[in-house]
Amino acid sequence: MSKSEKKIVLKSLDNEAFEVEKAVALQSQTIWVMCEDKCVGNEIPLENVTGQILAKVIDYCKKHAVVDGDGDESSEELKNWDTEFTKNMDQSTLFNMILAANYLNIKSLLNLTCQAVADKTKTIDEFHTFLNIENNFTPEEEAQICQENLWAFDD
Amino acid sequence: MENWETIPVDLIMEILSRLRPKSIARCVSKLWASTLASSYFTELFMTRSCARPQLLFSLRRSNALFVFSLPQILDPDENSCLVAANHLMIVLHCTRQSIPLPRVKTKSVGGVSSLLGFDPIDKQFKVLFMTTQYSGEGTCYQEHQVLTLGTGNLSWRMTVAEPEIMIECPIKQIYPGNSEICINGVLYYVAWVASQVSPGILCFNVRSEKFSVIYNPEDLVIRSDSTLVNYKARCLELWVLVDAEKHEWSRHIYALPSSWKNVVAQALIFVVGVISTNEFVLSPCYLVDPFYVFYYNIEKNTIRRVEIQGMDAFKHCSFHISIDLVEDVKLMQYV
Repeated sequence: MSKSEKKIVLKSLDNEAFEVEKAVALQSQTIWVMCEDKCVGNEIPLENVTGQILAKVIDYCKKHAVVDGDGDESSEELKNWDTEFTKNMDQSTLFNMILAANYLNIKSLLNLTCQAVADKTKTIDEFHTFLNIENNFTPEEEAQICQENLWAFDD
Repeated sequence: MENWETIPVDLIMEILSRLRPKSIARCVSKLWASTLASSYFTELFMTRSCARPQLLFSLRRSNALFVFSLPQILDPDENSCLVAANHLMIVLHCTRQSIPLPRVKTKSVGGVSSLLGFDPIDKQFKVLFMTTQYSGEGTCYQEHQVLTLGTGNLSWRMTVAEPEIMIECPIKQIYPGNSEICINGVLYYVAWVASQVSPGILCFNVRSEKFSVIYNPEDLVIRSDSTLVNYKARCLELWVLVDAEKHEWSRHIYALPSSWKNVVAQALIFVVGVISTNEFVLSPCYLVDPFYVFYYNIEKNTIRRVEIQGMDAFKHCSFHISIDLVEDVKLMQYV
């Protein structure tokens, strides 16, 4: 295989181009199917993902790619890396990462980002602000729910 | 700004299924309240919960029941330490509520025991309640009653005991305790069958509510206090029930690793069960301080221990450990 065939160009919504190893990009089931079907050339347009998010997704895929010997990190190291990766992401980035992971069909990244959101929403206030839920119960209804589920509201 | 509307429903379910049950109970939005009660969501939540099973400790002190849980599968690194004291809750895990089952009406005054089984086809939990009463000369009269959870109607039903089984091998005695296990809708438990000299294994099919007996080889002595595993000083003798219908068993003997002496030392332990990592979970028979739970991996022949801190507050209490605790978020009204 020539060098150019091993590389692939991913183009974001805002026309940012990223040249990556094929093994890195193929972790995305969506890209894998596109390449299998030969419906695209060496450049793959990803119309749902911005450059800023795509750069992060590629970081993740690079870390998790197993490329001929190098890249077989210990699972412990990978886990730590994953934790650090999502630790400082803000709400908007995390949501966009979830959407991107879903669109690109990268299961492990979807797991990681969904878990990260869940981990960050442990209390009721965080839950509402983080997920931007509007409380549409009346105060009476809310009081009744609290009463029925006292165990859930005590910390 | 992103909000609920911009994210597909299935992705929101993905996130919510990873929340603690507490956070789910706090979801005060009408739209999501109904989604969270849907069977799609409760099953997704159950699947997630099954992927991270926990150890459940229950301790009885005076009239209070203390319950707490800890992650079951830990990083397979060195011996680690968990702190339990801050997680204590009274009565039922998580909601701290318990639902009393209706009183069983029975004429029997003998020993009673109850077992919980799960039918994976209809996804129903059933409680099997047994009473035994001796009527002299080693024979006994027993009654089996069944209660199905989740029907909205908590009431006991008499089961029609299989006459041929009862005649062929009347059950002398039923042992309550650690010895029952429910696999694929069949509840296996240790009972003393009259035709045998030592206790044997009885099966109760949770779905059909029918009983059957498994005969064990003569050289396998099932003890009332054991889970099909006999522990000896330097080896572990394991009897595997290969085929319940054919009463086929196979016998395995495992030499314990040399590190056993250092890790377990002189502790008197019993087998709690086997978890998905193929590790035997072993627990001390008594609440000793420090309190360790041991994980013995039969394939790798390794043993490790996890210290549970805070158990000294429960000296002389009776305790019970369950493995594979998973959480279910069905609404209480459906119990």
